[in-house]
Amino acid sequence: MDEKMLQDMINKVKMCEEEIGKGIIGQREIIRQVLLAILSDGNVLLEGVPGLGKTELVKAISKVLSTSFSRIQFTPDLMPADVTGTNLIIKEDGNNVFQFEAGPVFANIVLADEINRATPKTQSALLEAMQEKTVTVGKTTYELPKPFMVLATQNPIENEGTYPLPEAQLDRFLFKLLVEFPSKDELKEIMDITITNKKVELAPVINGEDIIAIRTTIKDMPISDAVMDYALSLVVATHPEHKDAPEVTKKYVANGASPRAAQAIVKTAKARAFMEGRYNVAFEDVQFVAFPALRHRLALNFEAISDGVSADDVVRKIMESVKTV
Amino acid sequence: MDKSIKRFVCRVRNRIREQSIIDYLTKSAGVGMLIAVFLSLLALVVPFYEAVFVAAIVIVLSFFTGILLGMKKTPNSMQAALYADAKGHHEKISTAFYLVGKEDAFSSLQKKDALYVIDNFSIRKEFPIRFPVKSFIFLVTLSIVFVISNMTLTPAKRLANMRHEVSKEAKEEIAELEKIEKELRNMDELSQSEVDEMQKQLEQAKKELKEAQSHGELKKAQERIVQKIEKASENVKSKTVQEMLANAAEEGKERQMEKEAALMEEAKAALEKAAEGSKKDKDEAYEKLKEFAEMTGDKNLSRAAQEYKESSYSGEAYAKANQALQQASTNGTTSDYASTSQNTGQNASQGNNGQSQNGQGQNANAGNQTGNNANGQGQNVASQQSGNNANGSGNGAGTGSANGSGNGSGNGGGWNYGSKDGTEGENKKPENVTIPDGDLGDDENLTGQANNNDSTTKEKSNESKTWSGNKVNYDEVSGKYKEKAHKKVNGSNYPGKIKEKIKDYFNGLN
Repeated sequence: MDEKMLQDMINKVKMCEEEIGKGIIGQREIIRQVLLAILSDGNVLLEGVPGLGKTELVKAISKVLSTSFSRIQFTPDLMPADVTGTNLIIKEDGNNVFQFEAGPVFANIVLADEINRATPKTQSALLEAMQEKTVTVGKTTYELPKPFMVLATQNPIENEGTYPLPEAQLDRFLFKLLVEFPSKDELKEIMDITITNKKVELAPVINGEDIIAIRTTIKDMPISDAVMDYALSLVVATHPEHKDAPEVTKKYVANGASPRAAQAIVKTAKARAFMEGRYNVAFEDVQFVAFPALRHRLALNFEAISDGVSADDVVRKIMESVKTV
Repeated sequence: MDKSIKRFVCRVRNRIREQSIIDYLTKSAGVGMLIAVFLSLLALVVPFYEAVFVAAIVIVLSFFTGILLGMKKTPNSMQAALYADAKGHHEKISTAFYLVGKEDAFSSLQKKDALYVIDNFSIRKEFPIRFPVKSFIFLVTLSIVFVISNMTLTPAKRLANMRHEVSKEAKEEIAELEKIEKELRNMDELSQSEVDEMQKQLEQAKKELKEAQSHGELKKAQERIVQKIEKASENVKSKTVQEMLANAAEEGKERQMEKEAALMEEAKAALEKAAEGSKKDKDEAYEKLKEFAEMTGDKNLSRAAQEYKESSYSGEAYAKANQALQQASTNGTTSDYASTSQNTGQNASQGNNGQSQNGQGQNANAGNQTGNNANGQGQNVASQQSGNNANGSGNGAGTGSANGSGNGSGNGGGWNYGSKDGTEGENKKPENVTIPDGDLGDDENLTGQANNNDSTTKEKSNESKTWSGNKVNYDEVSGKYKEKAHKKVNGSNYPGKIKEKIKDYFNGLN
C-alpha cells in the first residue's frame, strides 16, 4: 500500500459522496454517515417521518455503489421465508427435489423498508443475516453476497400496528440515523427536481470489490492510545452501575451500551478519518460518530421519558463529562 | 523521522512545564505571602518575636512548593503531544508519537503527515508564556504590605524584642548555672545531700530565670540566685566549694552590673538621639528609659520616662528624663547590692514576713561619708566601705579622716529586695503578737471579746505563740533616712557645695 493507492481510495469515496449528493438534496451528514457504515461493514437504521427521502437515499446509494440491491417492504403479514427465501419442491430428472429459492435478502444492499411494521418473528429473520452475513434455511446455511448490508427505515410517529425492534436487533445496527426535515432552501431544490421534468441520473462510482478493499485498508488505520481510551471512556460512561459514570447516566440510563458500541465507534471513527483524508483517528472523528453509534444502544429509564430527556441529550452530556486530555 | 517527532514533543513538554511552573509558583507564592503578611500583621499587635523568621521560612517554602508542584503537574510526553494536537492538528502529532518505532505503511504515511505539521508548528506562538498579571500585582501588593508591617515598630514588637533579649540573657545565665552544677557534681568535698540540696536550688533558679518576662524580673531572679549561692557558700564546710561558690556569686554580680551598665549606655544613646530625632527615635528612647528603669527599679526614672512620653516628648520632660537618667547612672548600678543586707534579702525571698533583721551591710559604701562621721560611734560590725555614692547608710563609726578614707559601719536596710516569687506561707505562724516592750511572754490568746462589765479576759493558751517582735536598730532607721536624703540631694539641681552641706547636715544627725 502506498500513498497514491490510499489517495485513490479516498478520492473514490469522496466522489461517491458527491454523486449521492446529486440525487439527495441536503442530508449531507446522513449521506456521510451511511457511507461510513458501508465502509465499516455495518447496518444502518434510518428513522424519520414519511417523505423525507429515506428510501430514495438508499436507492441512490445502491446506484452509486454499483452493487445488487433489493427492497423488502415490511408489513405485519410478512413471513421470515419472504425475507430469507425458502425450499421449493421441483422436478428434477423425474424426481421431486427441494431446491432453495433465495429471498430478497440475498443482495449486496438490502432496503428493509418500515422494518417496525413486521412482526418480531420476521424481524428476527434478519438477525443472522445482519450479524453473521449468512442465512440458514432448514439444515443449510447460505452465505450472503459480499459486501452485504441492511439499510432499514422506520417511522417514529406511527405506533398503531408497529412492533418496536427488540434491543438485540437494535444492537446489530451499526448506526441509527435520524433523518431531519430539510431546510427551506433544500426543500426548494427538492421541488425543482421532483415536480419538474428534470432527471438526475446517478452514475456508479464504486463497486463491491472496491468497498471490500477499502474496508480492509481502513482496519489498518492507526489509532493512538489516547483516542482509543477516549472512545472506550464514552462507552463506559453510559453504564450507570460504573463508579465513574456521570450524573446524567446514573439518573436517566437503565442499561448502557454494549461492547458492539465500542466496536462501532472505533470502526466508524477510522472510516471517518479515512474519508477526511487523514491517516490517523482524531477525537473529532470519535465525537462525530458517537451519536449515531450510541443513541439506539442506550436504554433510558422512566425518569428520562417523564423528563423528556432523549438518548442524544444523554450522549451529549456524557461527551461533555469525558475529557479528551 | 522518529527522532524529529520525539524531539518536538520534548520541546513542547518543556514549554508547558515552564508555564506550569510560572502558574504554580505564582499561586503558591501568593498563598505563602498571604500567610507571611498575616503573621507580620499579627506581630504588630501580639508579641511574636519569631514572626518575621517564620514568615520568611513560609515564603521560601511556598516558592519551593510552587516550583515542585509546577514540575510535578507537567504533563507527560503523550499529554504534551495531545496539547500540541489540541491546536487544531487532529491528533496527528500524538498518533505519530504513539507510532514511534513502527514502520508499517500506514505508520510511515501517518508520521510523514505529522512531520509536515511539526515543520509548520511554532511552539512559541502556539504556547506563549503567559504571566498572570493579576496574580503578579497581588504578589507585589502583599510584598509591600509585608515589608511595611515588618518595618513598623509597635509596642507589641518592642515587647517581643525585649522578651527575646530577656530570654537570651536567661539562657546565658542558665548556662552559667549548669556550669556551676557540673562543677559541684565533680567535687568530692560535698556530701550527696548537699549536692542534692544545691541541685534543687539551682533547678529552682533555672525555673525562675526561664519564667522571667522582663529585665526587672530577670534581674530579681539573678539577685536571688546570687543570694542563694552566697548562702550556700556559707553553709558548706569545704573551703574549696566555698571559694567556688563565692566566685560564682561574684561573677554573677559582675555580669548583672555589666548588663545594667550596657543598658544604661543604650538608654543614654537613645535619649541623645531623641533630642533632635524623629518620633520613632523618641519612642525608642522612651522604651529604653522604661526598660532601664524597670531593670534598676528606679521609680523616679520610670516616672520621668512616662511624663516624657505623655507630654508628647516636650523639651521640659526631656530635660527631666535626662536628669533622672543621669541620677540613675550615678547611683543606679551599684545601688541594690550596696544597700542590701544579705539577711533581709533572704527573708524577703523566703517570706518571713518581709522583716528585716539587723544584717550586715556587705557593701554599704558611701564614699562621700568618709571622714564626716569620724566621731560617730559604729553600732554594728563595721565593714570596709568602697565604691561611689552608695545608698547604704552608715553611722560612720571609725577613724575617718578628712581626705576621705575611713571605716564606716554599714547597716544595710534590706529594702528593694525580694520579688513576686517570695513564698511567705510556709514560715508564717498564725496570730503572731508583737509585744511592744520586746519581752518574751507566755503563750496567750487574745480573743478581743469584751465582757459585760467592759473588762477583758485574758486566757492562756498553747495554741498560739508570741514572740518578741521586731527589733529595729536605730542606726538602721537613721541610716535609711540619711540615705533617702542623699538620694534626693543627688537628684537635685543644687550646686555641688550646697549638696555637700546638706549631706553633712544629715550625716551629723544622731
